[in-house]
Amino acid sequence: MSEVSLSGIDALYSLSDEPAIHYCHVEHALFRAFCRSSRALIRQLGDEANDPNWIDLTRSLKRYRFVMSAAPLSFNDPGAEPRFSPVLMRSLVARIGLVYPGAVSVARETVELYMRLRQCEDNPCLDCMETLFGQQSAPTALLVRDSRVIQLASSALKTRDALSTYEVVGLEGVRGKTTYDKLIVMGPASWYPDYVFRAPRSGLIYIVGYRWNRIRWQPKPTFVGCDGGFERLDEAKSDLESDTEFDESWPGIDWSLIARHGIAAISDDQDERDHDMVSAYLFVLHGGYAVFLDASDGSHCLAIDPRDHAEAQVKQIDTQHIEPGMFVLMRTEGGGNYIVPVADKILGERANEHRAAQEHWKLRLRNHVVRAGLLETCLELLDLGSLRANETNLRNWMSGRTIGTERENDFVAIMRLVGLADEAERYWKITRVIKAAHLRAGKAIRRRLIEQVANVDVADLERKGTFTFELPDAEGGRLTAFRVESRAPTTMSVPVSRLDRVFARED
Amino acid sequence: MGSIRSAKVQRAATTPDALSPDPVKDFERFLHFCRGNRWERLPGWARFFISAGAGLATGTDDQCRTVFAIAVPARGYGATLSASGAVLARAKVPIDRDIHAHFAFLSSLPAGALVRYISPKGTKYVGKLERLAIPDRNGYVAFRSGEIVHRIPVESCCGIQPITDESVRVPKRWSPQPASPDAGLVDALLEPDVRASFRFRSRIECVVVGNERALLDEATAAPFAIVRPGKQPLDGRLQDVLRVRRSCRYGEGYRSEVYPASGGRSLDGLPSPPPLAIFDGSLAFLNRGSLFPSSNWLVILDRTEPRFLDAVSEINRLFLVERVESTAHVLLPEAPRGLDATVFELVAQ
Repeated sequence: MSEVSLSGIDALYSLSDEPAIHYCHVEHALFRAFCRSSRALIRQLGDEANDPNWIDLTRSLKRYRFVMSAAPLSFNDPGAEPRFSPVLMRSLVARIGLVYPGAVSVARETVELYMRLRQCEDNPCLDCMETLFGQQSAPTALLVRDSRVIQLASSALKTRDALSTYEVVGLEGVRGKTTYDKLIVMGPASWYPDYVFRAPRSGLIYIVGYRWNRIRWQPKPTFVGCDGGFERLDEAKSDLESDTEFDESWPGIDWSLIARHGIAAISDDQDERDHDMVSAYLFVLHGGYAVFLDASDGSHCLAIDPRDHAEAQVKQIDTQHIEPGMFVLMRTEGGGNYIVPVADKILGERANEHRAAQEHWKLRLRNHVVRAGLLETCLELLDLGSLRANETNLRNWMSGRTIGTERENDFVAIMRLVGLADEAERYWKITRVIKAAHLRAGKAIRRRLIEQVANVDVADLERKGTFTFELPDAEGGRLTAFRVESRAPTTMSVPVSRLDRVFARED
Repeated sequence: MGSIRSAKVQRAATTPDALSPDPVKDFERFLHFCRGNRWERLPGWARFFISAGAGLATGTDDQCRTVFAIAVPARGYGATLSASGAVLARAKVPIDRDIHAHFAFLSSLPAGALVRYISPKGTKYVGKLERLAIPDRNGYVAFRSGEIVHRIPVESCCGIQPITDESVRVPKRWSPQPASPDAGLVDALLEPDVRASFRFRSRIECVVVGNERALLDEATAAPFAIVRPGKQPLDGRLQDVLRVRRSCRYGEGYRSEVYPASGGRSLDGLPSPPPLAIFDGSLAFLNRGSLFPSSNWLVILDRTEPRFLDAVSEINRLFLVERVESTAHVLLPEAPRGLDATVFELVAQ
């Protein structure tokens, strides 16, 4: 990672000293009618908008409205097709007319407007940009609110020669030290975090948005004890947006929806232990992805922290310490775990035999728990010499995600419980051999990653949000680094087979 | 826009009498950084941080402490420059020589502990502690350096400090070494009589909590120079002033320490609360803010950090719920244009 010099920091301070912000309003009669109608539908439905009968429709229409307002896409862009197809929309409206007579006419109108938009090639935001800015030789970036549309926006820009050199970035692209000559912000300023305008990465900012949205930036004091000069500064300009109809916030992340779809989306036919539930953190990743990571004590994963020094960037980090901005390394092919295949290669011919032995005592333990229950089993283990038997540890010991116990006395107690006392020493040795292989695997993967990360422009990585590392098969194979964008506020209970498997968001 | 709530003009009682020249003012005026191939004067925001650190380090009060929080567009050099200002501002404050307490401290060290001794003339010795004794009221501390056992009278025992760098090994033959003449930037900022004490006596004037590696790089790697009109630039590093303990060469006195934002290192070796604690970043403040309840705080928050709003919420909570009115006044500069800042007092715990 290149260390930042004082002169580099000075450039950022200079940019923060009142950047020039300009506003560009865009108009489109059909889209305005659609926005008005879809908002009227949600208003009319009230709480019933979240009713199972309506939720897919309202959510899809809302998402389409926001995506089209926050990215320069044509209205018929195939990448902007919501999950709920137009055919399903029409079918729903036809069916529920009897149950919701008050809302059905608005719903019908909204769907018809949507269908017309989906046939419309217009791209008024792109037209505006081409007219106002044209070709730029100096670095120019287009900032979009949702990282899921970065690729779509890039493709749209490339259809216009004058705009093809523009770089499309998400929020992370304006957090780092990279600066631009011009920054074009798509959509209302209120949809973006304040740092876009208070710690700008360009001295010239253009906010492009539809005329019926309130797009102006409203600066506010950061600290409670600060002066109130901000209101006075903006009073004179507030009347310039008197013709705006909408002032709505960017929709928050629907964590429960993402989780529901995530659990349903990942199928694992052979997994007999799908009923094993674990506590997990849900992370939203760059580019429209998400992943569940184990939230048990001591769980960790491989991550890249671009803020850290070069030697320390690649690290095994406790999952509870993963923060937005870090990159988590995931396999996107063949299941989530990248350590086990490498460890098996290290174990060589012994791998199958050792894994079978491991599964053998775990299966016996699970069967015992099914018969006796968790609490009773814990008590029995304590009587047999275990020092750390409790329900949490017992779940971990049974789980296929762990190798065994930390301490030998706990392991021997398990062997006694499941009738393998005579072979305790053999099984314990196997456990230690597997652990050593896993440790070596982790180190080998990390070592190889450090070498590859050293050759990556970390500023580029931060802008792109994902990067795939091709390691030799013996050292992990293909691993993709995904930037973490957000974490669900609470942990969730998910099947163990869903952990570490990246899936596409469906919200 | 961005001016802090009140500009306070009264100096607190602990501020030393102003001596001429003022090293902090000289540091602000004459410190240059390297841009391309030339030296350039520090920009306004950088000079601001030096002043802020100096003001907070010297405006201390027994009852209250000052919190100065500032939101910046990017982290980088704010904390290290503030810490440099803090250290320089207190450079002329004599270090309390509690001889008996220090003798007792040396007595608590195990036999054979590595120590270094700087004589009043600045000669450097390194050796292993042998014994401490007070026979017939003539106390001394003895340490072995090579073949020679040195006896240092109790009155000079404050010059003996344990060496915490485990990589240091005492060679079988050791010759006393004169103190290095090269003090870097400090040579251009402090008078000779102050300089020796500054370089070889230790006291923690401030701690900085943040990304350790980034902070240490700023202190030890980035080139700076004191450029006075008509004189040759005197180049050095911020470490020349900061004297971060873990980056000092053995035998040198330290004046500051760096701690990680995410925990991991305990606060060993802080015999008393430092006058100033600087939190470089939201994580540093949120994770470690409770560790310095009687020090003045400088909280530098990068607006682009993911936890920025959490840190601001905590600052606002302290302001609304815990702030007190105080007569302790700290001289602070006005925040540069484009930066938001707030300052208030809390009870010192």
